[in-house]
Amino acid sequence: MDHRIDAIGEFCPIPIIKAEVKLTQVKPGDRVIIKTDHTCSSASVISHFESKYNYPCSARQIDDGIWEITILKQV
Amino acid sequence: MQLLYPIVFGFIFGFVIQRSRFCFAACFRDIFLIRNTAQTRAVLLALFINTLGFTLVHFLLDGDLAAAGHVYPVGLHTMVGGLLFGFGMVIAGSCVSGCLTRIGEGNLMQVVALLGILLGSLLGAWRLDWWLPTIIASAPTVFLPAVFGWPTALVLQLTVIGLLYLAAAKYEGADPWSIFKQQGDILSYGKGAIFLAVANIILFALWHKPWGISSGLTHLAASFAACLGIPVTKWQYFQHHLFTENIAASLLSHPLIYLALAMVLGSLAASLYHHDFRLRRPRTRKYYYSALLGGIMMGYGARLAIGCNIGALLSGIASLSLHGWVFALAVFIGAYGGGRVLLRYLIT
Repeated sequence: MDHRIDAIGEFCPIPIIKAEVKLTQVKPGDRVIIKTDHTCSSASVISHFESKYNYPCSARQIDDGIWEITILKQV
Repeated sequence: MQLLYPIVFGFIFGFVIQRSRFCFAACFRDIFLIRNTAQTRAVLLALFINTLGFTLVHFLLDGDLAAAGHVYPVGLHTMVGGLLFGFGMVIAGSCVSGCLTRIGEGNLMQVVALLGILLGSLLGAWRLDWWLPTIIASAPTVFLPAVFGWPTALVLQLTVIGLLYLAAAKYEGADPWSIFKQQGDILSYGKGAIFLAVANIILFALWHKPWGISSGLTHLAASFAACLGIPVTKWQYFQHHLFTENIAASLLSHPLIYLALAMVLGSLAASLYHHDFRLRRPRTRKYYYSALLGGIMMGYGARLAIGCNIGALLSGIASLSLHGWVFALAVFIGAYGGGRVLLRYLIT
């Protein structure tokens, strides 16, 4: 299942904090998708969940300065 | 010629910070808020390289680090300034260098943070009339090589930085070198740290002054205030021998004003080229207030501490001055307080 977080207009590290909370609530195999327009978050979200949790992440730039980051929760 | 180096290097700093997502605020804040030390390690790496580089310039190029570097008095003012600065940068969403970089990307919240920084700098410069004679004038200036001798001071500082680096990685439970992990086409935090440190070293070698920002912003704010008839040039900040580097022909001729503007342009160029530019509005009006308040705290704090995250923290520590370390410690504590407020009030 996909869970979306709209973090447009928020600044670091609020998108990460919201994603962390959401990821504790969802099942392994679910995806959390964050939409952010904060340039730093576009990198820090992936770096955080990949290196700390080993959750596979991917980022897609959907418009100038807007990214959609997908985090796949693992067991 | 006077302005060539600040403009060229300001552009490079802005460009590199934008491309690498390097962040001094995250360096402190993320330790508490998300138990992440990636930016902490990146800043420590920059400090390590920058310390080595300034030392090389001191010995090989005859650049007198004690006189030309950022070596300033350390005392109560450093602590108070650092606490305010650390708290302010978390609720404002960026430090001084980050603020300029974000403005180049079109971030409107950071335009308000900059207004706060300008206002706070002006307040700080004015209140130095009290802090200078009362606290700063009797505070010691501690240049570590003058206390321990060069070899011991250098080895001691590099060892402390190295140990902090390893401790940060252990605290997070991360691979110490994860900061070099490549992500798409952006620069890794580690590479950003190396580029910024090397650029600061080259700037010092060529220009004989290290990277700084906030004294430039103070002069910019003071020139606006002077237009409004406020007698800023009577304030001790613009006359005291500690700040002789600041005594310029006119307020607007301070070179760091142009370095700061060039940072915005460097970030603008990088973000336009990579399609990162966008006019960004904050999610709630609350963020404008937190940015303004945080900016004022940073501006005021940087005046007390005699530098911001760049002038006091990066260039101060790399100049082997104790005030840089004390400032960093106070910013760390202040960032903890700012983090509590962010969790409590700023998450929508």
